[in-house]
Amino acid sequence: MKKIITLLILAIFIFSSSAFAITAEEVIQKRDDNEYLQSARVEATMVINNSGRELEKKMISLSEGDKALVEFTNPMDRGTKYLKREDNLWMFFPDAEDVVKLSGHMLERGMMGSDFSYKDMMESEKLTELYNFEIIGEEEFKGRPCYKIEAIKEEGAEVSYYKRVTWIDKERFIGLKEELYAESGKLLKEVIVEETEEIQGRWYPIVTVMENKLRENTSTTFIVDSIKFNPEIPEGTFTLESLQ
Amino acid sequence: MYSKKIILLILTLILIASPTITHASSNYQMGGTAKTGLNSLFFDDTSRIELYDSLNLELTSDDTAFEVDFTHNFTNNELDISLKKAYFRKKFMGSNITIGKQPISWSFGSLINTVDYSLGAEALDEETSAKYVNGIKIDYPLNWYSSLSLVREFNSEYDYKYGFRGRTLINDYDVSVNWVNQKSTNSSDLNRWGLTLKGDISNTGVYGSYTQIDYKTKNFQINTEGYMMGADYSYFLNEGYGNRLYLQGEYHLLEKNEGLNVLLNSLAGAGVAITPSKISSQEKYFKVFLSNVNYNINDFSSIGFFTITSLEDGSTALIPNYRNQLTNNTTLKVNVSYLSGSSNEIFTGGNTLPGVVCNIELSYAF
Repeated sequence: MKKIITLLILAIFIFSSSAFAITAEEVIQKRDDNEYLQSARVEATMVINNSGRELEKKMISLSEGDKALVEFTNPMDRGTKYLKREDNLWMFFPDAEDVVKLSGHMLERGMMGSDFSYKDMMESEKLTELYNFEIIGEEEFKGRPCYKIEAIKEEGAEVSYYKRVTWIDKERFIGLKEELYAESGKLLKEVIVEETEEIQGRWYPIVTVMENKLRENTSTTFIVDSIKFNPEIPEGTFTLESLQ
Repeated sequence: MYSKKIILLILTLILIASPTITHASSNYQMGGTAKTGLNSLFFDDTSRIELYDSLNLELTSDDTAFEVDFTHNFTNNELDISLKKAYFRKKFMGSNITIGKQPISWSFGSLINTVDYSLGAEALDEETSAKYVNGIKIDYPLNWYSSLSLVREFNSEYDYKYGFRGRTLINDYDVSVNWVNQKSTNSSDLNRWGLTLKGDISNTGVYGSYTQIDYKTKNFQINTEGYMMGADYSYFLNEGYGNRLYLQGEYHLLEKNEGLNVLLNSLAGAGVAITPSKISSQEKYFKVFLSNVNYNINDFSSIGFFTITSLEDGSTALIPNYRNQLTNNTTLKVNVSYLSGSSNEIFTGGNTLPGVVCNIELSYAF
């Protein structure tokens, strides 16, 4: 009997040590290697869905570190531009051809009526700098084996979500699903990656659907039409002058 | 009439050439907006309905812009053609020089902007034709967040009109100094300068301005000043992640005399008319409080409520509005302004000023 118990304990130990042979930080680091954009040029379409009604927004974004410039190109919003540097957000109004600094609370607002906030869209910090991670299990998601990782915000870090639970593909190291929670434990948003693609040796989400769980029958689909990693960005791109 | 023909001719040429332009250079963009709407105006004894259609066309590239508005008023069957933009821009010795008809709007994120280049150019989030000027603008960037702008306007109403604006960021506060000097053809000289500040205190946006106005004619000189402070805040339902309620409040203190004209011009730009004779001359300052509440009903529609209250007599202009983006390109807007004051108060209607104005507009962007 003792031998069986010893064998069982040994088996559990071996199993657990093999399951978490990689640490949560390493998994997130590998995911960041794929998904974190040091600099990029992205052409994208955002489809806002609410109770069966759909709106489509098209945009071109350039990003570099904590700087991002987004220009909308669909007829309704054509010429509207945003510049984000650190936590400051400026907006260019094409009619008035003037730039206005937006109040900080606007960063929390859904971008152009979507479920993605300006912070979601323009977040520039690596998650490893903001959260403490732990592997809490392994699960399959849409047929792909995944690490299930829980992230709790580091003390003092300024983040939109207190906790994140993420399903990360074990082979490709790309996030396939993410749940975003408030400090109260309430589920706020759910992000599902519908389509991924290997681009320039990196796995990257191409079609992502975000659902705001506090609002009924709404979701926003973010489609990457084209992406270029580390493009040549002319000097002076992230300035108020270039916004005009 | 002659200039209208020229505009039509230019527009026709652009329309004919546009497929070629689009193929020749992808930097050119063409688009516009078609609108149809009605205004209902209610006076003391009568009411009137005005129907209109309008077409806005624009052609832009990185360094040129051409935009024109055609508005057909069904009531008098008149077609109004208004050239909004016709300019080109050139980089020269580190500066951007814009020459031609262009919008000059020193937006300040406020409901009434007393430090704008043209008074009443933008008010209550609505644009007016006052901001489109013929002139030369030179923008000189000092670094990524600081710049100097100089405007020289050409307008038959003035012997000359200059504007200068310096803008920078200090401790995350957007700070600007604006100065406008105009000499009218009637020999009056108006100097306006203003200082603005915009930033955040915790999660609340705060802003303020100071305006100094010097008005001089052959016979007299008036120096007057105005102060404004405002704040805005977003409140999100459902633990801060649900629908958004936006709140904004603004307090204006304007010395009477020319300061009052500034206010009257700004209000007129916002479509709210008041009778100056009803303003008491006993107090030095005219005090007005503005509020704006806006609620996002869902991803497509919002409802808002502006109020402008005279702290002199308590009369208020109530301006509810509704906006719904029906499809990717179609938007419905409803705006109502209601002047609630009694006959001897500032915000009131009558037989010449409508007490209630209702505007319903459907627009299609392409």
